[in-house]
Amino acid sequence: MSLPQGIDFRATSGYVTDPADHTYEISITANYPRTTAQGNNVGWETTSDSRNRSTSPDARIAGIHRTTGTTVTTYRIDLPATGDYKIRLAAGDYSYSAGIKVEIFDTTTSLGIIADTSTTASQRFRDATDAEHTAANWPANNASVTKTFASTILRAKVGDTAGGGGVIACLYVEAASTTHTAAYPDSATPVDTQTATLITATALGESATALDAISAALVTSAAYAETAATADAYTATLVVAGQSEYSDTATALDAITAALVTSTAWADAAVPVDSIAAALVAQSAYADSAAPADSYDATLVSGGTSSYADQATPVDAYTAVFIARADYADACTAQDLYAGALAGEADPALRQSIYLRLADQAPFVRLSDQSPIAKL
Amino acid sequence: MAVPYTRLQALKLLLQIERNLNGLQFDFRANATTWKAAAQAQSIPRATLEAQMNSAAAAYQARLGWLGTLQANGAVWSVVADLWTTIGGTGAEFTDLMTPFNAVADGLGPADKGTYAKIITVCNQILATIDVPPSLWPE
Repeated sequence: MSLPQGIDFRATSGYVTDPADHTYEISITANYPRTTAQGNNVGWETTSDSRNRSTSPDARIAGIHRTTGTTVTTYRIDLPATGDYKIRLAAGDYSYSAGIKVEIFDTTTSLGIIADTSTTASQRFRDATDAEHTAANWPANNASVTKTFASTILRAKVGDTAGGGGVIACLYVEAASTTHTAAYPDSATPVDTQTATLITATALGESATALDAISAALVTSAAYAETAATADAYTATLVVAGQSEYSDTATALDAITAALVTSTAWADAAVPVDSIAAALVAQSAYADSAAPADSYDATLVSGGTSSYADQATPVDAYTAVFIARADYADACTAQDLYAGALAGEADPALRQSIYLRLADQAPFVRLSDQSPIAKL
Repeated sequence: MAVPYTRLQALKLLLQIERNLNGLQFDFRANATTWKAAAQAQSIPRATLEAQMNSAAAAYQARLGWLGTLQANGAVWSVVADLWTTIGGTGAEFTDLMTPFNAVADGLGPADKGTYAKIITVCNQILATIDVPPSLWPE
């Protein structure tokens, strides 16, 4: 079904030629439903009477359908949809003045009487606002009325139960334009901007917030654009340098770690002390768990001419002295100190005998009658 | 008290079916004749004529659909069918009538109406498919 649809009431189809969007109605018996050439289902639901009047005026008002007395007859036009429709009307008789009453219904609900005043003479027609026009004037000057339909059935009831009959020459219906075709005029809200950005997939046009910068950086993997925080500096340094794939939550200590990592193959959880250990490692193949004391060891090791590898102790310092001066390899003891005093006696057994000699004689006896110093 | 469904209501329905289907046969031919004349005279823009023909196709289908809806109501249709058989009618008669009607209604919308000549062809096909309905007086 599609509108507009004009119905020209008369007695025979070929009496005149209907204009575009119009068709004739010649049935005087109930003939709903009939499908017009315009594609709409229309028709009388009750009986009426018809006349051809004149081919002189506009074809739309060349004839009539009518009721007499208190009879009311109903004409139905099926609408394509609910909504607003403009209605035009020619209620009158080219040949006589006539009683007029046309009421519009939305299925069974009255939408009002659109014409209710008898015409004053022949060749007079009431329009949809009950204004009277001459036959010559009606085509260009008839006014429409807009009605809102909650159903898809338009009924036009012609006649008056109070008497006087009713006449209709032309009924015309078209859709009233209610849709907006222009751009959407509502007042945009901030949310709309964001929505538009998402839809267009172009550069972000809204007022960016700090979070947006982070999002953008993550998305594009381009330069970091947010207001950087101090912690970010460490992060950036580690990342930008590209020397490691250090991606944890960086801390200040990590800067030191990075330095350590870059200079040696030191890969444990570095601590400040390790800097010393690293120095030790760098100078020699010293690989044990270094301790501060090792500094002494290192000195011993590095200054010595032999490979001393035991668990060195401070006493060893003395020992090392002895070692350096002689080819003395036994497990020296403190007494070696005395033995050392006789260093000129190379024979250890002799030094021991000297020791024993002192022992088999009461050292104090010998010493008592002799000055030990003299004996010696 | 519920109103019983009787042959009285069935008679009304049968008469409505008669008006609907006989009227449809008349409208098929009347509208095809009108469209053919308009296409031959090119008195209506082709696109407008095509739109009107497509609207009529939808209107025809709506009218045929009412009968299908009624037939789907078993309780009501059984009384209508009973009344139909009482006057000597058969189910096959409905089928024989509905077949060409459905063919015209269903084929009109998709038919090629791209030129005035094609519109005339479509109209001639309708006129060849649907016979003139019998009438006591000239219609």
